[in-house]
Amino acid sequence: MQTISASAEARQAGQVAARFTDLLGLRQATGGAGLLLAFAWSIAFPMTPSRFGQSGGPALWPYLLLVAGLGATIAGVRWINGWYRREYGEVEGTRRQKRVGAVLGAAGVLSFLVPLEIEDLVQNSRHVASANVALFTLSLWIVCYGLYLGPRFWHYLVIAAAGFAFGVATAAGMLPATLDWHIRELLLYFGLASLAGGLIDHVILTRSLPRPRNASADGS
Amino acid sequence: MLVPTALEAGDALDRLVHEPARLIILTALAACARADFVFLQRATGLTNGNLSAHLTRLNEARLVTIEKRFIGRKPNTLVAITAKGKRAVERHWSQLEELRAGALDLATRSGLPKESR
Repeated sequence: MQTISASAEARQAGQVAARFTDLLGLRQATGGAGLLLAFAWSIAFPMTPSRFGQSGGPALWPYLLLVAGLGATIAGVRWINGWYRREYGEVEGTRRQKRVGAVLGAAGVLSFLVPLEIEDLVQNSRHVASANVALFTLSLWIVCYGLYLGPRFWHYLVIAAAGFAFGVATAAGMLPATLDWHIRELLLYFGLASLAGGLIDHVILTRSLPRPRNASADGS
Repeated sequence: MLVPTALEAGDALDRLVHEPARLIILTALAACARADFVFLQRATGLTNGNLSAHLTRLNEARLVTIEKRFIGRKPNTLVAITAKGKRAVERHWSQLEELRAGALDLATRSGLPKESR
């Protein structure tokens, strides 16, 4: 009779295979580090209207720095992709998994972009959105993502709760309410969320798929 | 009688699927479209030779298909579960579930304390 642990291992292998792409967390963590760099850049070089009013316009080199950072992030993600392929192999999702992934991805992009568009429209009417709306929509999306991933990914619910709290803090006026500040808050939150979520996902992957040991089982 | 029924259910288990490494392979493959050799090695913890032998066995029983390709100059083996393999592993899990439920029932009737079940 098979042991309970063998059945548990088989079930775990099934769960890992079903969520393999989502578990490749170092890619996400690298993206998060890139977003944090973008946040640091936006603090160092604030895009205020007065900067654009300067004679000759703003200097070129901060933009070159931003493009270099973006390039380094993309190169890092590509390298990590290859490393994962070599170390953990490849798993191709089913059509249904790919469809659900595409819908979730599109919803994530919309939860990021639509509130920014709304805030932009509000600003154009000479008003200021008093809260960073995207923090709420993005947190809501992270909740959906965490629920889609399953019970082992409860950390996304904690990350989403932090996002809601951050959003409430901006609504309470603890941070300046302007569009450029809202973008910085988003960069900071999404950067930290991606970094933390990605690292935890990677830890789950490494614990679920340890290095092959010298097994005594034969192929009979 | 419950005990003979449970034993019969145990005997009815497909030995080809029931072997722990092969159950891991088939369960993992049933959860995706296909996976490569490196992933299956990680999931099972088997050595190259052992995993190859298990895959050959499953391939001979037409429970999986094996496709060999090259990525650059490196060989890469992709494994996918067949419809027959999917049915076999689903049936196996439902049989295991029945066995578990039977064993729990037996433990309840024999008055075993909960923590020892």
